[in-house]
Amino acid sequence: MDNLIELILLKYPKNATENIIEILLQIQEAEGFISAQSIIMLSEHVGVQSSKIYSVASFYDQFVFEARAKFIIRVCSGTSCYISGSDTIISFLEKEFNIRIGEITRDHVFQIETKSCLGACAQSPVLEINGVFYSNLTPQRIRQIIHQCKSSLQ
Amino acid sequence: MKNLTQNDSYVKNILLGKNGKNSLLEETTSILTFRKNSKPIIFIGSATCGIVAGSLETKLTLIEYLKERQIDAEVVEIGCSCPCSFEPIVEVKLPGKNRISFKNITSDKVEAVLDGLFNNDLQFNNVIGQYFDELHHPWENVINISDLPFFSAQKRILLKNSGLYTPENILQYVATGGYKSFAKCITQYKPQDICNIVEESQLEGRGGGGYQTGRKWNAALQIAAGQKYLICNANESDTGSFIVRRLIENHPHLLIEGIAIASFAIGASKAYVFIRNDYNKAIEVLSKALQQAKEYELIGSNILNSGTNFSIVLVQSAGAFVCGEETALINSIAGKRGMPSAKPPFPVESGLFDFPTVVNSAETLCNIPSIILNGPDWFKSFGKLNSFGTKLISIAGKTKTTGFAEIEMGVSITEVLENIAGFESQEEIKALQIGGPNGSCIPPSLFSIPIDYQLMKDKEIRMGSGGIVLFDDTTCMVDLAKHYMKFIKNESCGKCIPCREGTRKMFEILENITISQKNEGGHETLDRFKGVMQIESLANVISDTSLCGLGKYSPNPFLSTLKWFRSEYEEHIFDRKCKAGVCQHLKSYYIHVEKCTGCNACAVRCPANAILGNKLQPHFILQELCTSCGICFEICKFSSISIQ
Repeated sequence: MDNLIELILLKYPKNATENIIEILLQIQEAEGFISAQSIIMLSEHVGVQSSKIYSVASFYDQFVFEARAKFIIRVCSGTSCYISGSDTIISFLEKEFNIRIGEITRDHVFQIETKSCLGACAQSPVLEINGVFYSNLTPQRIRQIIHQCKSSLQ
Repeated sequence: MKNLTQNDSYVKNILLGKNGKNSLLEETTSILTFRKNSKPIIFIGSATCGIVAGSLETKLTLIEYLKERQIDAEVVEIGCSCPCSFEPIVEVKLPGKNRISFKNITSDKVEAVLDGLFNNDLQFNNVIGQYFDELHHPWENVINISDLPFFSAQKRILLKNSGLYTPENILQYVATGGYKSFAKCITQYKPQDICNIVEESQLEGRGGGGYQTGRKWNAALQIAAGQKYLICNANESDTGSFIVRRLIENHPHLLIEGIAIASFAIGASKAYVFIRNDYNKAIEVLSKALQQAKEYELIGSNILNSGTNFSIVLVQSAGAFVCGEETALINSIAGKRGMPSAKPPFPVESGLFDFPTVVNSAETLCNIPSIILNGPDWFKSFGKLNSFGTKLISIAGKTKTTGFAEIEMGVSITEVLENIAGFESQEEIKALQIGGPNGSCIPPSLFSIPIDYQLMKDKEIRMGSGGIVLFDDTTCMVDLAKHYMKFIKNESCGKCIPCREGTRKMFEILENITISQKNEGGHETLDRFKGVMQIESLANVISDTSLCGLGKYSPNPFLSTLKWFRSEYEEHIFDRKCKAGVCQHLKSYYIHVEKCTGCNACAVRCPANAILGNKLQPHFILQELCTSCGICFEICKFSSISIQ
């Protein structure tokens, strides 16, 4: 892991603070989350205290500091999706996996999140799993999508 | 590489006006713009709306179909032509025939529609229309696509080529007149001339502020500095708006051209595009387009041998609504927390890394190329009232047609609803929200208001980015205000106390309004009473004392719903009822005696033990004990439970 982060850091000049967010995004892409170790390495690279880096990272929604599930189900809760019933979808998913919003299933495969607006209002309600959008959500379709995810693991 | 050299000379010849009467150039242009084709071309809408509706599967099925039947055809990915509820859209251009457009072609419909098309037996249910072109044979009994109300009600300047070509293809963009305006700027104009043209056009910033772009540019140009920056704000996070996303996915080169002209005009050698990280497709399309523009030396050093240099950097936002505010955005690009800072100094004087910086929204910048090409008077010929030009709007929510449209400034909301959203009467509409969480909620009585910055401001309506969401009777306005407040409280950056604490408090008060008396405990009844008394003045304090736009306008959804739907608030507060049946705690459940079979399933599952009754006898609910959780309603197989 450390090597991976080093490779990312090498792409950027030392002591250039404007790249912090971009580097953090890349670290998250590579590692899946921002580890304490990566914050320390980044702080040494750009010459800013690690507490400052953490303060920047924790400001943005995008960054997480714990390992995440393989499939992150993001239910859009933008206005258009909200009035079209995104709440029902969330409670359906919560029941289906027996977890609550933000939590991870025991096998670390699924995680449910809400997202403020995914910008796909025309097909609302929508959900996104690892970058792929799904619309026309009925209980059967959601089950089918979940099944697809599970079978793609094997 | 040989191909690139050939294309390179094509681009340069077109841009530097050496085309004259060159038949080879004309030939290339007509092939690039699909006016001439020797084999069938099949187009698939591949913007986000298409992908969400299933265009990827459609494409796979299509390729399979062509392979099976050994049909030699070209498959081309296009952007979207914008009536998003018609997606996935498939268009076909047979040689010598007009281009014809089909709607809702999910993968299961591919075979039927294409069979019909190739055998001259059209499936009329799926036909949207055809693009008329005097060179080709028309399809019989098929409407001209520009005669459809959705298109005829629009004035398409930015979107004139929307959904016709492959968005990131630079050759097609040049063939349809693109980058001409940029070439004209750097070969014929001085920066001062461009600033003057834009100022004369009175183009207003489309991001929501409505500040005149030309004035901002002139101010930046006057300041002498070693380095200047231009930032394109594409951090669209308004809930219910997808304008910037569609604009970039469909017209990345138009945006690049706008940025290039703006940078040249203010003397910036580096431009940043600040785009939302979640917009994968838009980022992909824009990066490809940037790469192509670099290959053809339209960005970089010594552009078109004019000695001008400049570069564009794509910056991905890490997700924060407040970064749409220009000072917060500048902080975010500099690698800091995206918090707004006090103005003055304005970014034009001291912005990114303390250098003069101009921040323009993506839509504003896309307006620039056509203004330069056609002049400010042409631009001012659009717009019926105070504002000139066109405005992009997106329509979503409880509507017949969802979509993305470009309308002339001054067109009334009624006209938009009738022609673009497809409503015959407005009875079904309860209200609409324009401009996202910082915008305003408008009741039907105000729908005659024109879309115009000044007039809307006079009526205390904030147009914002122009995203419209429609609501019908199934939407509770109190719940809606609560939804927006939740969004704002989560997105508040925490710098100003009125916004940080005030929005949280407002959310709590709204939540208290929507719970039933039975669920109240401790001091909650008193809190609720105090909240009701104070919420309006709290909202005004937040508006008056917050630093940035996010805080200032954050109580807008609440204040506007309170203004126009006060009776609904009163109903929630005094009668503890929600007419729309949305607020869970205010619902009362009843069992129909005739329908109840006495299966006992609800009584067993009721967490409050509020359901009584003997087996095989009708049951009933004790209202004093009922917590309105709705479990009985969900599990009853005989639909004997109703909500009041």
